Amino acid sequence: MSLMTLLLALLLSQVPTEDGSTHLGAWKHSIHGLVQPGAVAIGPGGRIHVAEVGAGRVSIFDVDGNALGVLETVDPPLRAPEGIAVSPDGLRFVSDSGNHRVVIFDADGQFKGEFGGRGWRAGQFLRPMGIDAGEHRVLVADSGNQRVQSFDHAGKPLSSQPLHTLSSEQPEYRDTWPTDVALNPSGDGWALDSGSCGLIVLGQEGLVGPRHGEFGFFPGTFASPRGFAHHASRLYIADTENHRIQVFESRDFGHSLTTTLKPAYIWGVHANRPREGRGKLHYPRDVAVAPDGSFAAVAEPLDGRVQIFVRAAGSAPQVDAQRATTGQAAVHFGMELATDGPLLVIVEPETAQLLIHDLRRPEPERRNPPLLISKAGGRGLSLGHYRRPAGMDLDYDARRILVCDRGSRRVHELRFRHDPDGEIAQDFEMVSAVRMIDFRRPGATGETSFPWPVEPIAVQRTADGGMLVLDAANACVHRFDSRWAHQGSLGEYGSGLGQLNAPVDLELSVDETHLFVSDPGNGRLLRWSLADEAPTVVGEEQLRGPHGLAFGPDGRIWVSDAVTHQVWAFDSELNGQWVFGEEGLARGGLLAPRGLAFTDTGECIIMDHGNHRGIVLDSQGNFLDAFGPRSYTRPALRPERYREEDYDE
Amino acid sequence: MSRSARWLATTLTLLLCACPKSDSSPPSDARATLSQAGGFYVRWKPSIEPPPLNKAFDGTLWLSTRVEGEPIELAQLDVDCRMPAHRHGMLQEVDIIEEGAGRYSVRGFLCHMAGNWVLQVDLTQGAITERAQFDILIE
Repeated sequence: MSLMTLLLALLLSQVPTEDGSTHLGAWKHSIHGLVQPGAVAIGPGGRIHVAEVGAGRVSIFDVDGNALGVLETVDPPLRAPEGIAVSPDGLRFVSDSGNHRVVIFDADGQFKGEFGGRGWRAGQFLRPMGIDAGEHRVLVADSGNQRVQSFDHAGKPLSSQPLHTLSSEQPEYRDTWPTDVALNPSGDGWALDSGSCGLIVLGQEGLVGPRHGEFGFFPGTFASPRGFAHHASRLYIADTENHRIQVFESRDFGHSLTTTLKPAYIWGVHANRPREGRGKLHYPRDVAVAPDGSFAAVAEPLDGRVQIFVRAAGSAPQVDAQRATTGQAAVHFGMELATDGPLLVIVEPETAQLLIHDLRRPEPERRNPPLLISKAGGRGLSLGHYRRPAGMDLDYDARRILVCDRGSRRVHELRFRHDPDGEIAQDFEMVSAVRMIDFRRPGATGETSFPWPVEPIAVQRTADGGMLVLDAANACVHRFDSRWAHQGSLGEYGSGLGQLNAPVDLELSVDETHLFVSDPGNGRLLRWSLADEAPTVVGEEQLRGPHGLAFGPDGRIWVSDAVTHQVWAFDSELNGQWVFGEEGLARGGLLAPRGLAFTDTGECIIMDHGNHRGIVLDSQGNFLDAFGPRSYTRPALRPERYREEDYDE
Repeated sequence: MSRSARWLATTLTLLLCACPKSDSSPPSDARATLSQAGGFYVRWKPSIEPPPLNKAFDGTLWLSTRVEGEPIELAQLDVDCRMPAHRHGMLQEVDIIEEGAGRYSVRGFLCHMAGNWVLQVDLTQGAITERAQFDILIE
């Protein structure tokens, strides 16, 4: 036996196997300081590629966390890169979601080319997300078009597999939202469907095979899974809203259309304290396994980190009985809120419910957090149930709530009962559904057709009983009358004047003369004068990721910025002023703030989404209160007891 | 299926087919309501009054465009019973059979728990689904 053969044999003996003697999942260390890391891939040599959605770049590290380089583009820069893949020969493919394209970098990190573009035809994308690259093929989760597309390495389209065509037979799959893909050894593929919470088996000839999994909290079920990886015979799924990685054994991986999956083990438990790490997981968005199976990387965008896990002895991690969750996932506040009169409504994303709070104070002289008095909705497809509830409008006088369901492409109208002079009391029968409009159905936009069904992300009721609906897919605002007949639309996709890219919120002035739209894809607001539909750009200098919008009592439009963690206000002359916020957990801190609204008493409530809390400011932007889980509110409410090191990993 | 069971099923089927169709107009004691957005009018009568606890029953719906309006035929209907306070519905789904002239037979209600239930009638016309609902007390 030659020396070379001996060395090779020694090397092979070190390659971990999936024979049950070891398992992946032992925490080794974390890479911090990343800006919303949304996807991770591990290339040849164990180089960890992290797509930083908020920074528009891909950062490369070695297994010890040493920075090796950055992948970026200039014109245009990467905008919300949501997927990264490394082919066996070292090419890097980046899903540049905000620019609806795939960018190719060569093995030296140099820009090599791009393909795609916004559209629905073969080879085009709408918000591509997960991506995988094999020796000859690239698979892309074309999430906005609800399909998976396959390309060669030069970007030539090979096949397209729509995933929502089963809708008529299996309505639960009508709202497919593919967020990640993987090629398997046989050359077929897998798609992770965050919409129906399942894994879809793909064949090479456009066949769509069986689906595995469903929504739930128990082993083998998922809550909005977003990313996955495979190694040898195992699949590793980032079960995002269950805060864990689920590992499955695939019995016949090489024949994907007949594959069966058997749960192997679960690693990671939900982080309870803010920023808690060391193997605790918090909204894990993606997972990658090194080609030799020796380690894995897990991306957690809200905590700005990637955790590295290595192998440990045994077939599965030891279960920490005190920390393992067997029931419903812990509840967090969602991104959006609405308030009017004495009520506040907040979305709870894990359960797709609306949490209805009473803002009144049992003891007027004392502040108290909003009191939960009812829950409405839940995950489902019928009227009054949602897949991905988004923006809302609350009209207390009319006793009406409008709710966007981005996942099902619907807007729901609810009615409620509430006595402003009655006692504060729970009433779980206070809400009932009135009607909904389903934008997938013909005629939803009258005679006008759009490239994609309306994807409602924000809504506002108008004085005449109609509504304005912000459409994320078509990048425009639709106007409906009180009978919900389509009356026209405003805006289109692009970066010019009057154009929008990935809009997320709208706000109509009280006199209904001006409409503001937050336009994070272009890092600005647009203001339309509704008299002549003339648009104006607002906040281009100050804003990077504008999200929630609301008019303050002083007439200024306030806006949260999810990228800079700040709140700004713009007066009628469109002069901007910083109002509140910097990245952090203590008083004055925000982390990726989203929805924002003013109460009737002039207080501003901000959904401090990354910190899982609500922040209350006075009309000048001064901190008044925080509500939500105590571990997250305590640093703001009792800053003298807050020590940064207590919250460090 | 045994021979006697098959004979029984056949006889029942023949008997059902031989029965004359009942009058399609709603009885005077049918409960009525306008839908929540006012888009249609519905009357409802359960096969057992009052609807029983944990025992299957059927019901009949009469749909029209308004109080004295035209009957709504070929409706795309979804019918369910739920307990809003407990955040759950029935443990089974109902079957809906159109009988003509805006009359729909709904079979297979089973309210398994005492308390306040809500009968939900969802009518889809074009892109819009609208709900009418009746409170039901199960004791």
